[in-house]
Amino acid sequence: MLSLQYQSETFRKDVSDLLRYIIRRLCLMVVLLFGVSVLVFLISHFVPSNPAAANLSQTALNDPEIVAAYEAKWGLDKPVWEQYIIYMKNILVNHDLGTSIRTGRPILDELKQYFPATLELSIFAMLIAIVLGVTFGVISAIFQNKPIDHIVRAVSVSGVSLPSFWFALLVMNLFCSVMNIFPSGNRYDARLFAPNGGTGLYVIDAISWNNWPLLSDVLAHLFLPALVLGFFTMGLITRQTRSNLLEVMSSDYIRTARSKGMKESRVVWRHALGNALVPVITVSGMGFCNLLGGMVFVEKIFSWPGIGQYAYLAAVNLDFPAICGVSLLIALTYVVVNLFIDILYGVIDPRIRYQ
Amino acid sequence: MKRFLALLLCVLMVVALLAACGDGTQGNVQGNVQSDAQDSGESSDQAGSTTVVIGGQSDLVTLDPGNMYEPYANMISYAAYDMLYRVQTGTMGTPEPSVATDYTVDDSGLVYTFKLRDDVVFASGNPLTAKDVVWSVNRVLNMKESNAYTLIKIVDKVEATDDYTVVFTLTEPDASFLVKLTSNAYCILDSELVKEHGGSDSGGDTAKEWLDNNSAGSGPYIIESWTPQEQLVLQKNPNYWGEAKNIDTIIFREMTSVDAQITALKNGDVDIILGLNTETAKQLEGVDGITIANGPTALMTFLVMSRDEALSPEMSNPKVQEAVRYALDYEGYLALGGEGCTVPLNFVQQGFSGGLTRDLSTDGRDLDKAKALMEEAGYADGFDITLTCASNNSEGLEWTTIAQKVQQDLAEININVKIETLETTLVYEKMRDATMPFYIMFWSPDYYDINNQTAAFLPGVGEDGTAYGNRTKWERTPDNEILWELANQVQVETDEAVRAQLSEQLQQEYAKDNPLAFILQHPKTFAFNSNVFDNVTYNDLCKIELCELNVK
Repeated sequence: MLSLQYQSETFRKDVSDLLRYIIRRLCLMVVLLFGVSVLVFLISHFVPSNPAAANLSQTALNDPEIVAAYEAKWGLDKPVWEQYIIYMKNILVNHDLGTSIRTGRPILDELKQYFPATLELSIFAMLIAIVLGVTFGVISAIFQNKPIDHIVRAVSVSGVSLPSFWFALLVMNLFCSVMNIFPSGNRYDARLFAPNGGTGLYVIDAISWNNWPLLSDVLAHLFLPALVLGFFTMGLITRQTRSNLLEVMSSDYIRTARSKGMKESRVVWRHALGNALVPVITVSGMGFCNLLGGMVFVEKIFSWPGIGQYAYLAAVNLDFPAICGVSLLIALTYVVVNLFIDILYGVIDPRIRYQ
Repeated sequence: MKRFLALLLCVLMVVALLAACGDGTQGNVQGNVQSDAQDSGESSDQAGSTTVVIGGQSDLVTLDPGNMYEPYANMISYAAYDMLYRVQTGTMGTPEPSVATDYTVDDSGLVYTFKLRDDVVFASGNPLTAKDVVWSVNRVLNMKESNAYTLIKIVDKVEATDDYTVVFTLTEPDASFLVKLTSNAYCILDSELVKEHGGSDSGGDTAKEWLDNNSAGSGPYIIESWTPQEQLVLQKNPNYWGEAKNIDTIIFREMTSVDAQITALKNGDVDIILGLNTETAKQLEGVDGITIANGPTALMTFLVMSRDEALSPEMSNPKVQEAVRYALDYEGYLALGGEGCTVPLNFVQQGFSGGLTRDLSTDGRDLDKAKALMEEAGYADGFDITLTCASNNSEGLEWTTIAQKVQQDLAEININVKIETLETTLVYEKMRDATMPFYIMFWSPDYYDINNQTAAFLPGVGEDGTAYGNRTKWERTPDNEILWELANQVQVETDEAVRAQLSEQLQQEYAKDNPLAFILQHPKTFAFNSNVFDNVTYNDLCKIELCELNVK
């Protein structure tokens, strides 16, 4: 009876701690997003150029009537502070991120279109990075200073030092042009599939529609860009896993486990790896955020219609609403990923408390 | 317990994210298997239908003809819509009748009367009549913030005098009116259909969203679907009134990387690629079943030398500017640009009324003359100057490559060029502010008539840096008034032979003194699968002429 009561109280306390922690992080997130919106709005408006010049033809620019109509339509004739107030009012009251100056489409619709492509690519890049990174890290630690350790370390150093555009061109030439075993770009075979609805995460869509040829086609298109994008993070994870595992393997409790006659594989996988992985999760979280930075090049080379290319086009065309929308989305992604990682700590290490 | 809670929360976050992405509808699977034909490098033929895939980077932002402006806009508008006049195949904007059978113009040059074909139907099955033409023009006339409006604002009013007669009254005589009629601004929309989706000819039109995903035209294809930056699908129009081709589906794939395009063409994933240039096309030379082709474009690259003495007393000197023109090694630039490049005499490109090229045997590089001009200007010992160059290219020819060649050429007449490379939008801004003494720029017309060039390149044109007169501080003076007189005659002359003669005279006068050095007019290089097509035609307005495509 006492035990049940104790368990119930512990559960209530855990729930309360976790909720309090999440609410605090969410409050901080609102402050952060507000700061991001102010900064991005100001910086983009003080760039020495103007959207009318970036988006109107030369003949149109010669005509003051057209320029005036254009500026009035997009609110560019108002002071920056007034534009910002209108922008924030639309977000808070109408839940509307505005309309793209470049395309004339609602920003929310555009983000919904482009973000799933980037999210799918990022998730697969992280999967490749974590699976390969942890495996290589373990192999490297177990076979410390053996030839295989040197090979794995060389691969991981390549991962963190090779420019992603160069690596992308290399794998495209090798796997698509010379060997012809992977498609050279885009998300699917145009003759096989026309996107229409679903989540926009085509792997999930193909599974939910039981369309296995589509699934295999989508995975084939995903592999190379995900490999290129995940290669840098894989290098980081390999190095981190190796050094952590070597440190843990020299701990007293590992020595104790060995002295009890436990098999080496069990010592590594059961006792050492769990503890060695906690810092790896931090690296993975940072790696995920780094992926977004490398996204523009990889999306460009593999013709991947994601948020990186959208952000680039928004920037060069001074599409203020789109620039702000992308910035808020990326900031939100950073915050959510970090929150996710922080919660995951608790899963890996029971000693960590949400405070 | 805490671990369970945390794990549950992580799972919930992932599920919420997936749910946020989805809209609950199903996808449209076009086919479950790729045909054998595709594997053998032929166009896909599924269940008797023929599909052609084109790879390129279009940067299309809308499919509404009233809002389109992007370089590839007319490739799509010509496939899905008709105009009164269209560009003749393989020409640089020469108009020919399409829905109109002929026209008359009154003596004032203001009133154009067009007779329409009576057998044209829209894809919806509605007949195309004069009222659709009037409605479509009035719709764009009420979209003043649109780029398309610039080409239509010359129209004062448009009326249908009967079902198949349309009368346009212009605000001023304009010899380029027929050419303007060939652009997407004048696409004829199915007025009944567009009105059902928010279309209006009196302002407040809200049909753009619908027109971005559908078409309301009478062209050989209808717009089936469009996912921006991803792909556009055109299906054969079953009600097409003209001669139908043998292609059922055309898919335009956005491919941002030229390497990916080349690989996809080699592997048979696409049938035509558009993103090539002289250098990258070499990767396809000698590849079986692939044809590399060139099409003429109106894109030209040139050097701009400001007349503003405050920016550079040396470079602003007209004699120095002439010396620069004589010091350039035009043959060298032609080699850099590759097959199909030409050197324009000045601001009127080949393909336009009276367009002249530089005669390199008599008017090419002449270092003695250039040095003499430098001496005459008082700069025989030369000077230092900064050449500003955007991180940009002209049909794949990098501007930094051109800048290095200019640096090398001008060193021969003691001009010491320092190259400054800046981000493109910054260079554009500095250009409009007229703060650069010497820079590289390119230009392509908004419509294919010499009137567009005169509005951009004459002395004094372009308030606030919108054209090169103002950008170079080249003032309109009695000495160059002849240029304006000739341009004004060109503007209204409707006899093409007389107009071409006037245009040539204008270019010869312009060559005597101007602040620009025209280097190259570039071709467009593309490639196609010759197992699929005998020929693929190109014109600069429509790019690939989709209406003319036929598979073997």
